Amino acid sequence: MILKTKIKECREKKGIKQVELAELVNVRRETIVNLENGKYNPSLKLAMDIAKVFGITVEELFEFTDGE
Amino acid sequence: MNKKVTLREIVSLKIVYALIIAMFYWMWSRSDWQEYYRPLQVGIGFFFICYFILVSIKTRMYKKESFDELAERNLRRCDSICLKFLLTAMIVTAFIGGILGHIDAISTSMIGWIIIITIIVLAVFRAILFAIMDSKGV
Repeated sequence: MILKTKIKECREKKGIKQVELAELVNVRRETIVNLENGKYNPSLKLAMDIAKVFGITVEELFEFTDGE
Repeated sequence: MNKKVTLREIVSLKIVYALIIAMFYWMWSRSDWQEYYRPLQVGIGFFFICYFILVSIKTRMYKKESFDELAERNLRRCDSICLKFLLTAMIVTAFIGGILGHIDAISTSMIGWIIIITIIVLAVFRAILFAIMDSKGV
């Protein structure tokens, strides 16, 4: 099972830079980079904070897919 | 300028503790006690207390302002690797002491130095390893 994220999509739609999103959810820019690349699974709190920034639910922001 | 405290900084600051321990060990393991050792120990002890307070303040600032869960996870992974390194080093030290002790080729003081040097090397290794892991996002 792979966790896929739409953070980059949502961020670009809203016109927010990685560093700005990082400051909004109180993490480093590197954390946002790793989240967008799928290299890091966030905690529930961080996932909810990011979803709140975009005004969507956690389920809309993240989804599990079957590994290939 | 209010620069945020990073976890890398806090991990690097811990190297100084290893060096202070080495300094105390150097004085206490010697058989030729010098008169200046006592004021030197007092001075180092005072420095240690001030440094401990500084590190505690920086740690509190980090937890308040710049807590980052990815950095924390990377540090836990780094510490896991360092624990294995320490275990290996202690096992090797024990066997060196046990085997060479039979032929009086090693003193307890030397074994102590092996342990102290291991602690210093481990502190430096931990800081470097964490910096690499955190920058690469392992």
